[in-house]
Amino acid sequence: MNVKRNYLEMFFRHRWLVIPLVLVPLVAVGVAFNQPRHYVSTTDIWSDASIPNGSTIEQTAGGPSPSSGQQALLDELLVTHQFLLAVAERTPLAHYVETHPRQQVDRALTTMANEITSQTPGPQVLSVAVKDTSPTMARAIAHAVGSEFVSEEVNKLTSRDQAVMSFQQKQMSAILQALSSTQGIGGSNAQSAAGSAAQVTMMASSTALAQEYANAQQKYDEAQADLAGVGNPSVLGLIDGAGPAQRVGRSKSLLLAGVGGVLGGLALMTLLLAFLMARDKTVWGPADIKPESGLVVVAAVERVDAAQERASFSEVKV
Amino acid sequence: MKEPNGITACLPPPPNLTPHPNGASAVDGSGTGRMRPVDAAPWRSFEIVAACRSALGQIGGEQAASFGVTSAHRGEGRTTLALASALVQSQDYGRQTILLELDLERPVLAARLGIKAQPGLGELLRGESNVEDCIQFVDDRLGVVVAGDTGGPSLTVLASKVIGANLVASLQKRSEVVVADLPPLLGSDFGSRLTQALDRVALVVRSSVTPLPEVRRAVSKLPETPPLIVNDVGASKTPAWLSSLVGR
Repeated sequence: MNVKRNYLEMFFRHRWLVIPLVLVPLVAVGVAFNQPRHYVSTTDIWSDASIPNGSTIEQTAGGPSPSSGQQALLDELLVTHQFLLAVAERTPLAHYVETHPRQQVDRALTTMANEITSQTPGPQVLSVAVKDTSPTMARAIAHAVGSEFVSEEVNKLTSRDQAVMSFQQKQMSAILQALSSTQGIGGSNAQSAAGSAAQVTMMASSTALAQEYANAQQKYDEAQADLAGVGNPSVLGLIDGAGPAQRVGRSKSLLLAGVGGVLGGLALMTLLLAFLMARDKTVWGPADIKPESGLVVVAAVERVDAAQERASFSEVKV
Repeated sequence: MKEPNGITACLPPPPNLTPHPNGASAVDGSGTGRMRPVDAAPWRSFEIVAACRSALGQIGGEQAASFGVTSAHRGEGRTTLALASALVQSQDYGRQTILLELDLERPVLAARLGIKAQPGLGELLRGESNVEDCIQFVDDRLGVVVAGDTGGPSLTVLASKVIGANLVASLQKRSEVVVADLPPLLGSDFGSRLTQALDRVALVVRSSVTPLPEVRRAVSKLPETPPLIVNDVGASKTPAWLSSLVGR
Protein backbone atom coordinates (compact mmCIF):
# COMPACT_ATOMS: atom_id res chain seq x y z
CA MET A 1 0.00 0.00 0.00
CA ASN A 2 1.43 3.35 -1.00
CA VAL A 3 1.35 5.44 2.16
CA LYS A 4 2.22 8.72 0.41
CA ARG A 5 -0.58 8.16 -2.05
CA ASN A 6 -3.05 7.34 0.73
CA TYR A 7 -2.18 10.56 2.53
CA LEU A 8 -2.65 12.47 -0.71
CA GLU A 9 -5.94 10.73 -1.34
CA MET A 10 -7.13 11.56 2.17
CA PHE A 11 -6.16 15.18 1.60
CA PHE A 12 -8.05 15.41 -1.67
CA ARG A 13 -11.07 13.75 -0.08
CA HIS A 14 -11.05 16.35 2.69
CA ARG A 15 -10.20 19.51 0.84
CA TRP A 16 -11.23 21.60 3.83
CA LEU A 17 -7.81 20.63 5.20
CA VAL A 18 -6.46 23.52 3.18
CA ILE A 19 -8.32 25.96 5.47
CA PRO A 20 -5.60 26.08 8.18
CA LEU A 21 -3.06 26.76 5.48
CA VAL A 22 -4.99 29.88 4.49
CA LEU A 23 -6.45 30.89 7.82
CA VAL A 24 -3.39 30.63 10.08
CA PRO A 25 -1.17 32.92 7.95
CA LEU A 26 -4.04 35.40 7.68
CA VAL A 27 -4.51 35.42 11.45
CA ALA A 28 -0.75 35.69 12.02
CA VAL A 29 -0.47 38.63 9.62
CA GLY A 30 -3.54 40.23 11.19
CA VAL A 31 -2.11 39.90 14.68
CA ALA A 32 1.25 41.29 13.51
CA PHE A 33 -0.54 44.17 11.81
CA ASN A 34 -2.42 45.02 15.00
CA GLN A 35 0.67 45.02 17.18
CA PRO A 36 1.63 48.47 18.48
CA ARG A 37 4.06 50.31 16.23
CA HIS A 38 7.68 50.40 17.32
CA TYR A 39 10.03 53.34 17.20
CA VAL A 40 13.80 53.29 17.24
CA SER A 41 16.17 55.98 18.41
CA THR A 42 19.95 55.85 18.09
CA THR A 43 22.85 57.57 19.76
CA ASP A 44 26.50 57.46 18.68
CA ILE A 45 29.49 57.34 21.01
CA TRP A 46 32.97 58.36 19.93
CA SER A 47 35.89 56.41 21.35
CA ASP A 48 39.61 56.63 20.75
CA ALA A 49 42.84 55.57 22.43
CA SER A 50 43.48 57.18 25.80
CA ILE A 51 45.83 60.16 26.15
CA PRO A 52 48.83 60.25 25.93
CA ASN A 53 48.62 57.33 23.45
CA GLY A 54 48.37 58.29 19.81
CA SER A 55 44.97 58.47 18.15
CA THR A 56 43.70 55.47 16.22
CA ILE A 57 42.15 57.67 13.56
CA GLU A 58 45.12 57.44 11.25
CA GLN A 59 45.80 53.80 11.89
CA THR A 60 45.23 51.35 9.10
CA ALA A 61 42.53 48.70 9.45
CA GLY A 62 43.24 45.56 11.45
CA GLY A 63 43.61 44.81 15.11
CA PRO A 64 41.12 45.56 17.84
CA SER A 65 39.34 48.87 17.34
CA PRO A 66 38.37 51.18 20.22
CA SER A 67 34.69 50.95 19.29
CA SER A 68 34.58 47.13 19.50
CA GLY A 69 36.14 47.34 22.96
CA GLN A 70 33.51 49.85 24.00
CA GLN A 71 30.77 47.64 22.53
CA ALA A 72 31.96 44.68 24.58
CA LEU A 73 31.98 46.88 27.67
CA LEU A 74 28.47 48.16 26.97
CA ASP A 75 27.21 44.60 26.53
CA GLU A 76 28.74 43.72 29.88
CA LEU A 77 27.17 46.71 31.59
CA LEU A 78 23.76 46.02 30.09
CA VAL A 79 23.49 42.84 32.12
CA THR A 80 24.17 44.64 35.40
CA HIS A 81 21.33 45.82 37.56
CA GLN A 82 23.21 48.90 38.71
CA PHE A 83 23.85 50.22 35.20
CA LEU A 84 20.30 49.54 34.02
CA LEU A 85 18.92 51.20 37.13
CA ALA A 86 21.11 54.25 36.52
CA VAL A 87 19.87 54.38 32.91
CA ALA A 88 16.24 54.06 34.02
CA GLU A 89 16.68 56.87 36.52
CA ARG A 90 17.63 59.19 33.67
CA THR A 91 14.37 58.40 31.81
CA PRO A 92 10.62 58.74 32.46
CA LEU A 93 10.95 55.25 33.98
CA ALA A 94 12.45 56.89 37.08
CA HIS A 95 9.04 57.33 38.66
CA TYR A 96 8.16 53.73 38.00
CA VAL A 97 11.44 52.59 39.53
CA GLU A 98 10.73 54.58 42.68
CA THR A 99 7.14 53.48 43.14
CA HIS A 100 7.21 49.80 42.26
CA PRO A 101 8.58 46.74 44.07
CA ARG A 102 12.00 45.42 43.15
CA GLN A 103 10.64 42.39 41.28
CA GLN A 104 8.54 44.50 38.91
CA VAL A 105 11.37 46.97 38.44
CA ASP A 106 13.73 44.15 37.54
CA ARG A 107 11.27 42.88 34.96
CA ALA A 108 10.93 46.35 33.48
CA LEU A 109 14.71 46.76 33.39
CA THR A 110 15.14 43.40 31.64
CA THR A 111 12.51 44.36 29.08
CA MET A 112 14.30 47.65 28.53
CA ALA A 113 17.70 45.92 28.18
CA ASN A 114 16.26 43.51 25.59
CA GLU A 115 15.36 46.44 23.36
CA ILE A 116 18.88 47.96 23.45
CA THR A 117 21.22 46.90 20.67
CA SER A 118 24.63 48.15 19.66
CA GLN A 119 26.79 48.01 16.58
CA THR A 120 30.07 49.46 15.40
CA PRO A 121 29.72 51.22 12.09
CA GLY A 122 33.47 51.95 12.23
CA PRO A 123 36.58 51.59 14.42
CA GLN A 124 35.83 54.66 16.52
CA VAL A 125 32.04 54.92 16.55
CA LEU A 126 29.73 52.83 18.69
CA SER A 127 26.08 53.15 17.74
CA VAL A 128 23.41 52.32 20.33
CA ALA A 129 19.81 51.75 19.16
CA VAL A 130 16.77 51.56 21.42
CA LYS A 131 13.38 50.26 20.33
CA ASP A 132 10.14 51.07 22.13
CA THR A 133 6.44 51.47 21.45
CA SER A 134 6.74 55.11 22.53
CA PRO A 135 8.97 57.41 20.46
CA THR A 136 9.58 59.61 23.50
CA MET A 137 10.65 56.70 25.63
CA ALA A 138 12.88 55.29 22.89
CA ARG A 139 14.65 58.60 22.54
CA ALA A 140 14.97 59.09 26.32
CA ILE A 141 16.40 55.61 26.86
CA ALA A 142 18.85 55.96 23.95
CA HIS A 143 20.08 59.26 25.35
CA ALA A 144 20.28 57.83 28.87
CA VAL A 145 22.24 54.78 27.74
CA GLY A 146 24.80 56.95 25.92
CA SER A 147 25.18 59.43 28.75
CA GLU A 148 25.30 56.81 31.47
CA PHE A 149 27.81 54.73 29.56
CA VAL A 150 30.17 57.68 29.10
CA SER A 151 29.66 58.82 32.67
CA GLU A 152 30.19 55.32 34.06
CA GLU A 153 33.40 54.86 32.13
CA VAL A 154 34.74 58.31 33.05
CA ASN A 155 34.02 57.67 36.73
CA LYS A 156 35.64 54.27 36.65
CA LEU A 157 38.76 55.54 34.87
CA THR A 158 39.05 58.63 37.11
CA SER A 159 38.88 56.64 40.30
CA ARG A 160 41.33 54.09 38.90
CA ASP A 161 43.85 56.76 37.84
CA GLN A 162 43.50 58.50 41.17
CA ALA A 163 44.12 55.23 42.95
CA VAL A 164 47.21 54.58 40.80
CA MET A 165 48.55 58.10 41.52
CA SER A 166 47.97 57.71 45.23
CA PHE A 167 49.73 54.34 45.26
CA GLN A 168 52.72 55.56 43.25
CA GLN A 169 53.01 58.62 45.47
CA LYS A 170 53.27 56.39 48.54
CA GLN A 171 55.82 54.25 46.74
CA MET A 172 57.94 57.30 45.90
CA SER A 173 57.82 58.56 49.50
CA ALA A 174 58.94 55.18 50.74
CA ILE A 175 61.77 55.04 48.21
CA LEU A 176 62.92 58.55 49.14
CA GLN A 177 62.97 57.55 52.80
CA ALA A 178 64.99 54.46 52.05
CA LEU A 179 67.36 56.44 49.87
CA SER A 180 68.03 59.07 52.51
CA SER A 181 68.70 56.42 55.17
CA THR A 182 71.06 54.65 52.75
CA GLN A 183 72.88 57.90 52.11
CA GLY A 184 73.07 58.54 55.95
CA ILE A 185 74.75 55.21 56.44
CA GLY A 186 77.09 56.12 53.60
CA GLY A 187 78.14 59.37 55.35
CA SER A 188 79.05 57.60 58.62
CA ASN A 189 81.24 55.18 56.68
CA ALA A 190 82.98 57.99 54.80
CA GLN A 191 86.24 57.26 56.49
CA SER A 192 86.20 53.80 54.99
CA ALA A 193 88.68 53.30 52.30
CA ALA A 194 87.42 54.18 48.86
CA GLY A 195 86.59 51.05 46.92
CA SER A 196 85.98 48.98 50.06
CA ALA A 197 83.24 46.30 49.94
CA ALA A 198 80.82 48.32 52.15
CA GLN A 199 81.07 51.33 49.92
CA VAL A 200 80.40 49.29 46.80
CA THR A 201 77.26 47.79 48.37
CA MET A 202 75.97 51.19 49.41
CA MET A 203 76.47 52.61 45.94
CA ALA A 204 74.58 49.70 44.38
CA SER A 205 71.62 50.12 46.77
CA SER A 206 71.44 53.82 46.04
CA THR A 207 71.40 53.18 42.30
CA ALA A 208 68.59 50.57 42.61
CA LEU A 209 66.48 52.85 44.77
CA ALA A 210 66.97 55.73 42.34
CA GLN A 211 65.84 53.42 39.52
CA GLU A 212 62.73 52.34 41.50
CA TYR A 213 61.92 55.94 42.21
CA ALA A 214 62.21 56.82 38.55
CA ASN A 215 59.85 53.96 37.66
CA ALA A 216 57.28 55.01 40.25
CA GLN A 217 57.57 58.58 39.06
CA GLN A 218 56.92 57.45 35.49
CA LYS A 219 53.82 55.48 36.49
CA TYR A 220 52.59 58.41 38.50
CA ASP A 221 53.06 60.71 35.54
CA GLU A 222 51.26 58.29 33.24
CA ALA A 223 48.29 58.03 35.58
CA GLN A 224 48.23 61.80 35.88
CA ALA A 225 48.28 62.18 32.12
CA ASP A 226 45.57 59.55 31.81
CA LEU A 227 43.47 61.37 34.37
CA ALA A 228 43.86 64.57 32.47
CA GLY A 229 42.59 62.83 29.35
CA VAL A 230 39.61 61.15 31.03
CA GLY A 231 36.47 63.00 30.14
CA ASN A 232 38.11 64.51 27.10
CA PRO A 233 35.51 64.22 24.30
CA SER A 234 38.23 63.29 21.83
CA VAL A 235 38.76 60.09 23.86
CA LEU A 236 35.20 59.18 24.85
CA GLY A 237 31.99 61.13 24.43
CA LEU A 238 28.64 61.37 22.72
CA ILE A 239 28.94 62.62 19.20
CA ASP A 240 25.30 62.22 18.24
CA GLY A 241 22.79 62.58 21.01
CA ALA A 242 19.63 60.54 20.61
CA GLY A 243 17.66 62.01 17.73
CA PRO A 244 13.90 61.84 17.20
CA ALA A 245 12.78 58.22 17.11
CA GLN A 246 12.02 56.74 13.70
CA ARG A 247 9.05 54.46 13.11
CA VAL A 248 10.11 50.86 12.48
CA GLY A 249 8.80 49.47 9.19
CA ARG A 250 6.25 46.67 9.39
CA SER A 251 7.09 44.81 6.22
CA LYS A 252 9.67 42.58 7.88
CA SER A 253 7.42 41.63 10.80
CA LEU A 254 4.47 41.06 8.44
CA LEU A 255 6.62 38.88 6.21
CA LEU A 256 7.87 36.89 9.18
CA ALA A 257 4.31 36.52 10.48
CA GLY A 258 3.19 35.34 7.05
CA VAL A 259 5.98 32.80 6.73
CA GLY A 260 5.44 31.64 10.31
CA GLY A 261 1.72 31.40 9.64
CA VAL A 262 2.24 29.28 6.55
CA LEU A 263 4.54 26.94 8.48
CA GLY A 264 2.06 26.83 11.37
CA GLY A 265 -0.84 26.19 9.01
CA LEU A 266 1.13 23.46 7.31
CA ALA A 267 1.89 21.86 10.66
CA LEU A 268 -1.76 22.05 11.70
CA MET A 269 -2.89 20.65 8.37
CA THR A 270 -0.42 17.76 8.68
CA LEU A 271 -1.62 17.04 12.20
CA LEU A 272 -5.24 17.02 11.09
CA LEU A 273 -4.36 14.80 8.16
CA ALA A 274 -2.50 12.40 10.44
CA PHE A 275 -5.49 12.42 12.79
CA LEU A 276 -7.87 11.64 9.93
CA MET A 277 -5.59 8.87 8.72
CA ALA A 278 -5.41 7.40 12.21
CA ARG A 279 -9.18 7.52 12.56
CA ASP A 280 -9.87 6.35 9.04
CA LYS A 281 -11.86 3.15 8.95
CA THR A 282 -12.96 3.22 5.33
CA VAL A 283 -12.47 0.21 3.13
CA TRP A 284 -9.80 1.20 0.61
CA GLY A 285 -9.78 -2.15 -1.13
CA PRO A 286 -10.68 -5.82 -0.71
CA ALA A 287 -7.48 -6.35 1.30
CA ASP A 288 -8.92 -4.21 4.09
CA ILE A 289 -11.63 -6.79 4.73
CA LYS A 290 -9.90 -9.53 6.64
CA PRO A 291 -11.25 -13.08 6.36
CA GLU A 292 -11.21 -13.39 10.18
CA SER A 293 -13.86 -10.67 10.33
CA GLY A 294 -16.31 -13.19 8.90
CA LEU A 295 -16.91 -11.04 5.83
CA VAL A 296 -16.17 -12.49 2.40
CA VAL A 297 -15.41 -10.40 -0.68
CA VAL A 298 -16.67 -12.20 -3.77
CA ALA A 299 -15.77 -9.54 -6.32
CA ALA A 300 -14.01 -6.25 -6.72
CA VAL A 301 -14.96 -3.74 -9.36
CA GLU A 302 -11.93 -1.77 -10.42
CA ARG A 303 -12.29 1.81 -11.38
CA VAL A 304 -12.43 1.99 -15.14
CA ASP A 305 -10.66 4.98 -16.55
CA ALA A 306 -11.96 6.83 -19.56
CA ALA A 307 -9.29 5.59 -21.98
CA GLN A 308 -10.03 1.97 -21.11
CA GLU A 309 -13.74 2.56 -21.53
CA ARG A 310 -13.20 4.08 -24.93
CA ALA A 311 -11.11 1.09 -26.00
CA SER A 312 -13.72 -1.38 -24.67
CA PHE A 313 -16.62 0.20 -26.48
CA SER A 314 -15.08 1.24 -29.76
CA GLU A 315 -16.32 -2.01 -31.28
CA VAL A 316 -19.93 -1.63 -30.13
CA LYS A 317 -22.38 -2.11 -32.96
CA VAL A 318 -26.08 -1.86 -32.17
CA MET B 1 -24.63 4.46 -36.77
CA LYS B 2 -23.87 3.74 -33.19
CA GLU B 3 -26.79 4.15 -30.86
CA PRO B 4 -27.17 3.50 -27.15
CA ASN B 5 -29.59 0.89 -25.92
CA GLY B 6 -31.79 0.83 -22.84
CA ILE B 7 -29.97 -1.53 -20.54
CA THR B 8 -26.46 -0.41 -21.31
CA ALA B 9 -27.35 3.24 -21.10
CA CYS B 10 -27.84 2.86 -17.36
CA LEU B 11 -24.34 1.51 -16.86
CA PRO B 12 -21.56 4.08 -16.95
CA PRO B 13 -21.96 5.38 -20.53
CA PRO B 14 -19.14 4.74 -22.96
CA PRO B 15 -17.76 8.11 -23.96
CA ASN B 16 -18.06 7.48 -27.70
CA LEU B 17 -21.83 6.97 -27.53
CA THR B 18 -24.27 9.82 -27.32
CA PRO B 19 -26.48 9.81 -24.21
CA HIS B 20 -29.86 8.20 -24.52
CA PRO B 21 -32.29 11.04 -25.28
CA ASN B 22 -35.39 9.86 -23.42
CA GLY B 23 -35.53 6.13 -23.83
CA ALA B 24 -38.27 6.22 -26.43
CA SER B 25 -35.87 5.25 -29.17
CA ALA B 26 -35.14 1.99 -27.42
CA VAL B 27 -38.79 0.96 -27.47
CA ASP B 28 -39.92 -0.79 -30.58
CA GLY B 29 -43.00 0.40 -32.38
CA SER B 30 -45.12 -2.64 -31.61
CA GLY B 31 -47.05 -0.93 -28.81
CA THR B 32 -46.27 -3.77 -26.41
CA GLY B 33 -43.80 -1.74 -24.47
CA ARG B 34 -41.14 -4.33 -25.29
CA MET B 35 -37.81 -2.95 -26.23
CA ARG B 36 -35.58 -3.87 -29.11
CA PRO B 37 -33.27 -6.76 -28.41
CA VAL B 38 -29.85 -5.45 -27.52
CA ASP B 39 -26.47 -6.81 -28.37
CA ALA B 40 -24.97 -6.97 -24.94
CA ALA B 41 -21.91 -8.95 -26.03
CA PRO B 42 -19.49 -6.00 -25.89
CA TRP B 43 -20.56 -5.35 -22.32
CA ARG B 44 -19.27 -8.77 -21.33
CA SER B 45 -15.81 -7.30 -21.19
CA PHE B 46 -16.98 -4.39 -19.09
CA GLU B 47 -15.46 -4.39 -15.61
CA ILE B 48 -18.71 -4.15 -13.70
CA VAL B 49 -20.35 -6.97 -15.60
CA ALA B 50 -17.23 -9.09 -15.22
CA ALA B 51 -17.22 -8.47 -11.46
CA CYS B 52 -20.89 -9.42 -11.19
CA ARG B 53 -20.27 -12.53 -13.25
CA SER B 54 -17.51 -13.48 -10.85
CA ALA B 55 -19.60 -12.66 -7.79
CA LEU B 56 -22.64 -14.60 -9.04
CA GLY B 57 -20.42 -17.51 -9.93
CA GLN B 58 -19.03 -17.66 -6.41
CA ILE B 59 -22.36 -17.47 -4.63
CA GLY B 60 -24.24 -19.82 -6.89
CA GLY B 61 -26.15 -17.10 -8.65
CA GLU B 62 -26.75 -19.36 -11.63
CA GLN B 63 -29.18 -21.43 -9.61
CA ALA B 64 -30.67 -18.65 -7.46
CA ALA B 65 -34.32 -17.90 -7.99
CA SER B 66 -34.01 -14.41 -6.52
CA PHE B 67 -31.03 -12.24 -5.90
CA GLY B 68 -30.83 -8.79 -4.31
CA VAL B 69 -28.16 -6.12 -4.25
CA THR B 70 -28.00 -3.76 -1.29
CA SER B 71 -25.49 -1.52 0.46
CA ALA B 72 -24.95 0.27 3.75
CA HIS B 73 -25.65 3.74 2.32
CA ARG B 74 -26.72 5.37 -0.87
CA GLY B 75 -24.25 6.15 -3.63
CA GLU B 76 -22.25 2.94 -3.37
CA GLY B 77 -23.14 1.58 -6.82
CA ARG B 78 -26.05 -0.61 -5.76
CA THR B 79 -28.33 0.06 -8.76
CA THR B 80 -25.48 -0.24 -11.26
CA LEU B 81 -24.45 -3.60 -9.84
CA ALA B 82 -28.08 -4.81 -9.77
CA LEU B 83 -28.37 -3.92 -13.46
CA ALA B 84 -25.10 -5.63 -14.28
CA SER B 85 -26.24 -8.73 -12.35
CA ALA B 86 -29.50 -8.77 -14.30
CA LEU B 87 -27.50 -8.52 -17.52
CA VAL B 88 -25.30 -11.47 -16.50
CA GLN B 89 -28.36 -13.54 -15.62
CA SER B 90 -30.11 -12.83 -18.90
CA GLN B 91 -27.16 -12.68 -21.31
CA ASP B 92 -24.56 -15.01 -19.83
CA TYR B 93 -26.79 -17.59 -18.20
CA GLY B 94 -29.59 -17.16 -20.72
CA ARG B 95 -32.19 -17.04 -17.97
CA GLN B 96 -35.49 -15.25 -18.15
CA THR B 97 -34.79 -12.35 -15.77
CA ILE B 98 -36.87 -9.68 -14.08
CA LEU B 99 -35.12 -6.67 -12.59
CA LEU B 100 -37.22 -5.39 -9.70
CA GLU B 101 -36.74 -1.90 -8.31
CA LEU B 102 -37.33 -2.08 -4.56
CA ASP B 103 -35.70 1.22 -3.67
CA LEU B 104 -39.07 2.90 -3.30
CA GLU B 105 -37.66 5.94 -1.57
CA ARG B 106 -35.61 7.17 -4.52
CA PRO B 107 -36.50 5.30 -7.70
CA VAL B 108 -34.05 5.92 -10.54
CA LEU B 109 -34.34 2.90 -12.80
CA ALA B 110 -36.93 4.33 -15.19
CA ALA B 111 -34.89 7.44 -15.76
CA ARG B 112 -31.63 5.56 -16.14
CA LEU B 113 -33.05 3.00 -18.54
CA GLY B 114 -35.15 5.51 -20.38
CA ILE B 115 -38.33 3.50 -19.90
CA LYS B 116 -41.78 4.42 -18.54
CA ALA B 117 -41.86 5.39 -14.88
CA GLN B 118 -45.35 3.91 -14.44
CA PRO B 119 -46.99 1.54 -13.95
CA GLY B 120 -44.71 -0.09 -11.48
CA LEU B 121 -44.55 -1.58 -8.03
CA GLY B 122 -46.60 1.21 -6.41
CA GLU B 123 -49.51 0.70 -8.80
CA LEU B 124 -49.21 -3.07 -8.45
CA LEU B 125 -49.40 -2.98 -4.65
CA ARG B 126 -52.35 -0.62 -4.72
CA GLY B 127 -54.12 -2.99 -7.14
CA GLU B 128 -54.23 -0.40 -9.91
CA SER B 129 -52.26 -2.60 -12.33
CA ASN B 130 -51.56 -6.25 -12.82
CA VAL B 131 -48.13 -7.86 -12.90
CA GLU B 132 -47.98 -8.21 -16.67
CA ASP B 133 -48.65 -4.51 -17.19
CA CYS B 134 -45.84 -3.61 -14.87
CA ILE B 135 -43.11 -5.63 -16.56
CA GLN B 136 -41.31 -3.64 -19.24
CA PHE B 137 -39.12 -5.91 -21.37
CA VAL B 138 -35.88 -4.42 -22.58
CA ASP B 139 -35.05 -7.58 -24.51
CA ASP B 140 -36.41 -11.07 -24.92
CA ARG B 141 -34.99 -12.33 -21.65
CA LEU B 142 -34.91 -9.23 -19.48
CA GLY B 143 -37.92 -7.44 -18.00
CA VAL B 144 -37.91 -4.53 -15.62
CA VAL B 145 -40.41 -3.63 -12.89
CA VAL B 146 -39.83 -0.05 -11.85
CA ALA B 147 -40.91 1.46 -8.51
CA GLY B 148 -43.75 3.40 -10.11
CA ASP B 149 -45.74 5.92 -8.09
CA THR B 150 -44.91 5.18 -4.45
CA GLY B 151 -46.99 8.03 -3.03
CA GLY B 152 -49.75 7.25 -0.56
CA PRO B 153 -48.98 4.58 2.03
CA SER B 154 -45.77 4.83 3.97
CA LEU B 155 -42.72 2.97 2.79
CA THR B 156 -42.98 0.60 5.75
CA VAL B 157 -46.51 -0.30 4.72
CA LEU B 158 -45.37 -0.79 1.13
CA ALA B 159 -42.50 -2.99 2.33
CA SER B 160 -44.97 -5.10 4.31
CA LYS B 161 -47.13 -5.39 1.24
CA VAL B 162 -44.18 -6.50 -0.90
CA ILE B 163 -43.48 -9.27 1.58
CA GLY B 164 -47.13 -10.01 2.36
CA ALA B 165 -48.22 -10.14 -1.27
CA ASN B 166 -45.46 -12.61 -2.11
CA LEU B 167 -44.56 -10.28 -4.92
CA VAL B 168 -41.19 -11.87 -5.58
CA ALA B 169 -42.75 -15.32 -5.75
CA SER B 170 -45.34 -13.96 -8.15
CA LEU B 171 -42.62 -12.55 -10.42
CA GLN B 172 -40.65 -15.79 -10.19
CA LYS B 173 -43.59 -17.56 -11.80
CA ARG B 174 -43.05 -15.34 -14.83
CA SER B 175 -39.27 -15.68 -14.96
CA GLU B 176 -36.35 -17.84 -13.91
CA VAL B 177 -34.74 -15.30 -11.68
CA VAL B 178 -35.68 -12.02 -10.02
CA VAL B 179 -32.87 -9.52 -9.45
CA ALA B 180 -33.81 -6.82 -6.93
CA ASP B 181 -32.31 -3.39 -6.55
CA LEU B 182 -32.77 -3.08 -2.77
CA PRO B 183 -32.73 0.10 -0.70
CA PRO B 184 -29.72 0.76 1.56
CA LEU B 185 -29.72 -1.04 4.91
CA LEU B 186 -28.78 1.81 7.22
CA GLY B 187 -31.07 4.70 8.01
CA SER B 188 -34.28 2.67 8.09
CA ASP B 189 -35.53 -0.86 8.68
CA PHE B 190 -37.12 -0.80 5.28
CA GLY B 191 -34.11 -2.28 3.47
CA SER B 192 -33.46 -5.16 5.83
CA ARG B 193 -37.16 -6.15 5.83
CA LEU B 194 -37.22 -6.38 2.04
CA THR B 195 -34.25 -8.76 1.97
CA GLN B 196 -36.48 -11.35 3.63
CA ALA B 197 -38.24 -11.84 0.32
CA LEU B 198 -35.04 -12.86 -1.51
CA ASP B 199 -32.95 -16.04 -1.67
CA ARG B 200 -29.55 -14.36 -1.84
CA VAL B 201 -28.33 -10.87 -1.13
CA ALA B 202 -25.00 -9.24 -1.92
CA LEU B 203 -23.74 -6.13 -0.18
CA VAL B 204 -21.95 -3.45 -2.19
CA VAL B 205 -19.14 -1.61 -0.43
CA ARG B 206 -17.72 1.44 -2.13
CA SER B 207 -13.99 1.60 -1.89
CA SER B 208 -12.52 4.58 0.04
CA VAL B 209 -16.00 5.73 1.02
CA THR B 210 -17.74 3.18 3.22
CA PRO B 211 -16.25 2.79 6.71
CA LEU B 212 -15.77 -0.80 7.83
CA PRO B 213 -17.83 -0.30 11.03
CA GLU B 214 -20.75 0.82 8.83
CA VAL B 215 -20.35 -2.32 6.75
CA ARG B 216 -20.50 -4.38 9.96
CA ARG B 217 -23.59 -2.49 11.11
CA ALA B 218 -25.28 -3.12 7.80
CA VAL B 219 -24.36 -6.81 7.89
CA SER B 220 -25.75 -7.10 11.41
CA LYS B 221 -29.17 -6.07 10.07
CA LEU B 222 -29.32 -9.16 7.89
CA PRO B 223 -30.10 -12.68 9.09
CA GLU B 224 -27.06 -14.06 7.24
CA THR B 225 -23.71 -12.53 6.44
CA PRO B 226 -23.94 -11.50 2.78
CA PRO B 227 -21.06 -11.74 0.31
CA LEU B 228 -19.43 -8.37 -0.39
CA ILE B 229 -18.74 -6.72 -3.71
CA VAL B 230 -16.15 -3.96 -3.34
CA ASN B 231 -16.95 -1.31 -5.89
CA ASP B 232 -14.87 1.45 -7.42
CA VAL B 233 -11.53 0.04 -6.28
CA GLY B 234 -8.74 2.43 -7.18
CA ALA B 235 -11.06 5.40 -7.57
CA SER B 236 -9.10 8.48 -6.67
CA LYS B 237 -9.69 12.15 -6.13
CA THR B 238 -5.97 12.82 -6.32
CA PRO B 239 -5.02 14.51 -9.60
CA ALA B 240 -3.58 11.95 -12.01
CA TRP B 241 -0.25 13.76 -12.43
CA LEU B 242 0.23 13.76 -8.65
CA SER B 243 -0.67 10.10 -8.36
CA SER B 244 1.84 9.19 -11.01
CA LEU B 245 4.44 11.33 -9.25
CA VAL B 246 4.17 9.38 -6.00
CA GLY B 247 3.61 6.04 -7.73
CA ARG B 248 0.40 4.11 -8.01
